[in-house]
Amino acid sequence: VRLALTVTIAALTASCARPAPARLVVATVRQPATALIFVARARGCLAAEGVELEEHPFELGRDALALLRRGGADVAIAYQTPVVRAAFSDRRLRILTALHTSTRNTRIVARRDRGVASFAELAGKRVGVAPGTNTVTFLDLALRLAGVPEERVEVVPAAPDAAVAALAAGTLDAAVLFDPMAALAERRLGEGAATLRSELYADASLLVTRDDVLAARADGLRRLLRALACAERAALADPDAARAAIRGTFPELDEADLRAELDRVTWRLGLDHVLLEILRRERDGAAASGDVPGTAPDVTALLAPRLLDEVSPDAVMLLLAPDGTPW
Amino acid sequence: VVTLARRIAVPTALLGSVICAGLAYVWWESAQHAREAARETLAIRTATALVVALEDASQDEERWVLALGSAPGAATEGRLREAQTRIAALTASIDRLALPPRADERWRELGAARASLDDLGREVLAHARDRTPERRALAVAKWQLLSSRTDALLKDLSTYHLRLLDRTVAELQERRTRALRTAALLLVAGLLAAVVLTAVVARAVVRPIVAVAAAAERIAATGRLAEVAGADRPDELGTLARAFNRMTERLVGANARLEEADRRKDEFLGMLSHELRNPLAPVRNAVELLRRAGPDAAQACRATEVISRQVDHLTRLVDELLDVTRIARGKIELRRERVDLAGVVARVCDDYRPLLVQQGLALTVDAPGPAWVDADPTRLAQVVGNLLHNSAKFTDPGGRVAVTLRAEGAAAEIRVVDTGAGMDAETLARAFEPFAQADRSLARSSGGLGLGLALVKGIVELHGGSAEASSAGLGQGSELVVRLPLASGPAAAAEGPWGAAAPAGPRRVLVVDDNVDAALTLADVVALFGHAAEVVHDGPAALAAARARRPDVVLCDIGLPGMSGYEVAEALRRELGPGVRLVAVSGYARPEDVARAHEAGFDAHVAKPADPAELERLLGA
Repeated sequence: VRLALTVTIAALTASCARPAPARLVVATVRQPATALIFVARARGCLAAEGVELEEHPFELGRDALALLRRGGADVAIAYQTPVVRAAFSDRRLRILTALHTSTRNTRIVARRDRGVASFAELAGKRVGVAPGTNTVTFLDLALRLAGVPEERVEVVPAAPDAAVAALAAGTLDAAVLFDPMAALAERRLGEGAATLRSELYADASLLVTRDDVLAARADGLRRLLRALACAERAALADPDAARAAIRGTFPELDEADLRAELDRVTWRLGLDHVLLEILRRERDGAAASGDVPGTAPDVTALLAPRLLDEVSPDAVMLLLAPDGTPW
Repeated sequence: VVTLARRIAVPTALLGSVICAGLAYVWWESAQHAREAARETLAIRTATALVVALEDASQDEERWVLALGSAPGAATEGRLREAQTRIAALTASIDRLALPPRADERWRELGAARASLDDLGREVLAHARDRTPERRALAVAKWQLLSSRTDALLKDLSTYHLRLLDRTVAELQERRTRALRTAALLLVAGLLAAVVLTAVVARAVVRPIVAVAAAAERIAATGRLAEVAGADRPDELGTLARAFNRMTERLVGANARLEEADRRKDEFLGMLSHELRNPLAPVRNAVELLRRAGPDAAQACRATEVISRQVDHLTRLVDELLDVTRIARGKIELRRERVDLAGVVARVCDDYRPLLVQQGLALTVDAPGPAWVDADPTRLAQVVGNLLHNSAKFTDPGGRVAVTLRAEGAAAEIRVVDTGAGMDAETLARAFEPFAQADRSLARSSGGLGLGLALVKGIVELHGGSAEASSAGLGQGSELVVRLPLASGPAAAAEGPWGAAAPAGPRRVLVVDDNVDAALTLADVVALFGHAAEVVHDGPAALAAARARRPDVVLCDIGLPGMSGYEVAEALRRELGPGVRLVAVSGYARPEDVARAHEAGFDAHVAKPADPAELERLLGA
């Protein structure tokens, strides 16, 4: 009887005990669009799941992804463009989930005084883009929709903060930007700013890992996804509280700016056909440009929906094979 | 009342109710889930069908948009409008559905994209009419870009519903598995509880029964009283324990009494042997005297008297034994008649006076009559005789015996007081029990079997009376009192039990007995009575003699070899008819023996040793 009691108590204790914390190194980008992970931290979702994050913040997802590829991080947050371009030469990358989608986040901020009021008027102008980012894809689409040959535009490589400064200084006529730099540029130019968007373009931020990390740290990644789902529910239930929770992460933005920027994005975990369409278009564009080394990847193989399916089945809108990969 | 049945039934019913309620709940919950799943499945099916139809219509729309881009025309425009009308109808149908939140969000995204797509569609149509191929191609390209997005949204919707269907089915299966598991757990728990309950009940029921069995074993092994615990329980086990204790108490008591009776029987047999041998010694001596002395010698005379007395004594012993047995078995038959008890007392006292005087005792009788009772006078005489005999036995010479009779109220009371040995308390308590005598030692002076007072009590009680004894102690004398219910008045004159035999002439008598001595002596007695006697020793010889000489009387033993006395009687009665008198002379003298003899055809039954007077009367009748 004593032995049985001991075993029972031990089993109960073991079952009630909190699991060991999962430590993950995350390469993040400090943008409102990708701030769901900050909500998760601020609302205690990470702590509840026992996830301890070592954060490496970047201005661009391209750079965050580079750290992941170098092995300096377990997961990275990046937009679709750097992910798909990297996948041309790196088959290890796996997308765990989208964090947001938006058709209004990425846009062209132009100086009105340079006569840029539509995509067609970009012809003959100096336009700044951050190489290797979705700004390149956006500009390509904008020119295509406007019927402006690429060679008629002077594309100036520039990091977003540099592009904002160049716009303000007038060394650039326009720049492709996303929040918060796009909003910063608009504020800097004030009335002189012209904003050009297209609902035909959608950006999406992605939570990416490597297949070796996925195999070795599945439990930690699952708990991270569970924490993000928790943050998503919290944001959906109380957007103001979610915004307040990340307010400190963006000290350069006032309340109105942050609200406006968040209105332009939709935080949503998911792996679906819309994302597949975005990735395919990105891949096809990159392949057509000819300036991406490697071979075009099968974007379906980039997706790793198994963990998200376990955590939030509603978020997966793909039919999965028995091994958990998309058909 | 707390009973074992209730103790078992209540927990069993509770257990059964809990299990049934649990199973019923599981069944009800499964049914609810099945209904919910059916509703969800129907909704999913409807949504999926509409979305698939919308995808089909969208593909149709894309075909005609592309056609419009390459070859515009009214027919193409018409087809495009048809497709768009169908899309609008399907969209309205889907709008009416209650979609899950995630699908509804996606549907709203699709709605916004469709609105933009419709705008682009109108742009394509506008450019188709103004015949500008470049602008038309650009509009179609934009339309295609957006269309691919709406297609993706539609795929998401249909995929969402397919997955939802998968999850619903999986959930249904999981719930069914859970329900089965719960039912199994309930059953297992119920079985375990039943086992525990059975063990508890078995423990509660079996342990007391085992205790009873152990007590029974102890009693069987030791013969001593052993009580079972739990007699104070209010249930059936308590009843069992109490009944067992009562039973064992009675059985052990009965066993003790049986042992005592057995011991007394052994004593009695020893005493009987002694009492039977005592008369045989003087009889043997007397026989020797008769053989050696002349028939007319005074010694022969005394020897004859000795034999007569000892035979009377032996007969009395045997009669007492038989009487006690009859009384004990309730087989004694009283021949009641209205009798004056005073007369009986006086006559018996007169009969016993010589004996008492011979023993040096003074007898006083105070029996003023009359005191009428309805009684068997012979048995009354036996009662009074036994009382006097008892006093005579236990009173030393010089003592006194006083007999008084009083009629008081409804009872007549005979009181016999002596100055004899008296009785201690133990003897007094058992004075009227059979075979009880104060002195059981070999050196006891008084003879007899200790049946006299037992017969007194038995006979008196048969008459509806009572008997009691008292004594101041050893050496203080005894007082025996008999009370009988008085009758209302004198009776009509009654004839005595033995009518005088009418004188008769010589008869031919056939004596049948396998005991040669018995047969010959009986034949001699018959001859002394003046009759002609013939002796045979078995049945066939008796039949042959009877056929040859036609006897008047046949004195036949019962226990004959080969052919019993009963068979002889039946044969004689058949052959000789009623003219011959058949008398059974047998040691088998129980009432049933007498009745059996009458059934076989005997006219009378005489117990051995036959009373000569009785024999004479029967031969003369």
